[in-house]
Amino acid sequence: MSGGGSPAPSKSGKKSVDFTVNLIPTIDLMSVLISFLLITAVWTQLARIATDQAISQNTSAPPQQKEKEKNVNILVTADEAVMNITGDRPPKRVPRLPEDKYFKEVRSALRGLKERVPAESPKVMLAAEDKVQYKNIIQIMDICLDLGLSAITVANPNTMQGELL
Amino acid sequence: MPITKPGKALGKSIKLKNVKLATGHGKKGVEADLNITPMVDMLTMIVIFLLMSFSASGEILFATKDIVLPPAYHTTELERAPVVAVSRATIGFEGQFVMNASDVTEGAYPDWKLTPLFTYLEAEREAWTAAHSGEEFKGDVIIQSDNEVPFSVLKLVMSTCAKAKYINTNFAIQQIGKSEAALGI
Repeated sequence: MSGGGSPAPSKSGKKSVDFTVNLIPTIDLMSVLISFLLITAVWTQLARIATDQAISQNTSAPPQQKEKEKNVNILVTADEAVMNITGDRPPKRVPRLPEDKYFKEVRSALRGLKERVPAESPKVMLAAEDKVQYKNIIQIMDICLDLGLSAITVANPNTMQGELL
Repeated sequence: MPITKPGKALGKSIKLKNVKLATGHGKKGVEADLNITPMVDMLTMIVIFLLMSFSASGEILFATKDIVLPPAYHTTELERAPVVAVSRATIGFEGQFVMNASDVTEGAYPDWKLTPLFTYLEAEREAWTAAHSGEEFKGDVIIQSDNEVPFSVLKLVMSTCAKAKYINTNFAIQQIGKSEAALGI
């Protein structure tokens, strides 16, 4: 086989220039590595979305501060997504459509709001009604992050209802 | 071309005398070289693929069958932090059962503080503070929730975390490609 590292002498007595590298240890090492990596492999890539939160029942910013900050506010309900820039009336409403259309409309509305906010990376205050499922909130967060709205705060829905509804 | 008597032949075109020349004295060799280069190439490719897909974040979160994480594209790598697991049936903390999710309603907890979960969080914070004296408590927490859990449960869990001074909330998600994500593009 391919074993043996020393060159074999030729018939004429001269040393051959051919040299065979012993590959057996390499194969052994590879086999051990493959076994280890297969055992420890994680096939689902888990990650996180980092947010702040202002959801505690007693959390409420002082009114003066509220007026100063121009945030993008989003309230997700079972029937629609309502959004505005702090203080703007009436809010933009995106009714719940089939998924593809709904997310396109939400994206388009959020892009419009982002362009109107003076801050480079405005804060997003996101809240949802009780029946809204977790995956819907994450999908809205993912759209926000895709648009560069990375400062997401999960807000108290009662506060947001006062702002948007 | 002159006509000659054919000699012994192995096949139609290979003459037996040529085979004899190749094998020395006409005896078949018992040693055979196995070409292992393609095998080494293949093993190298497998090792590289497995190394690239290797992730240590699996040790932070343990996937359970009753928690299906929502998919998202824009994500950050997981860092070690206490994990609150929320499924449709139960709420757990660091792998331990804490309470039934069906008991979690705003009516049952009007102050938005889930007392059993708060006890665990507070104990964890005190243990961290004792182990890291002089360091500021960051308040990171990972919420590993099933994608169908309603926000009514999540808001109480988050409120409890905030009351226990865990204010940096990280939502665990399953990372997917941009083409698969619902980004409305």
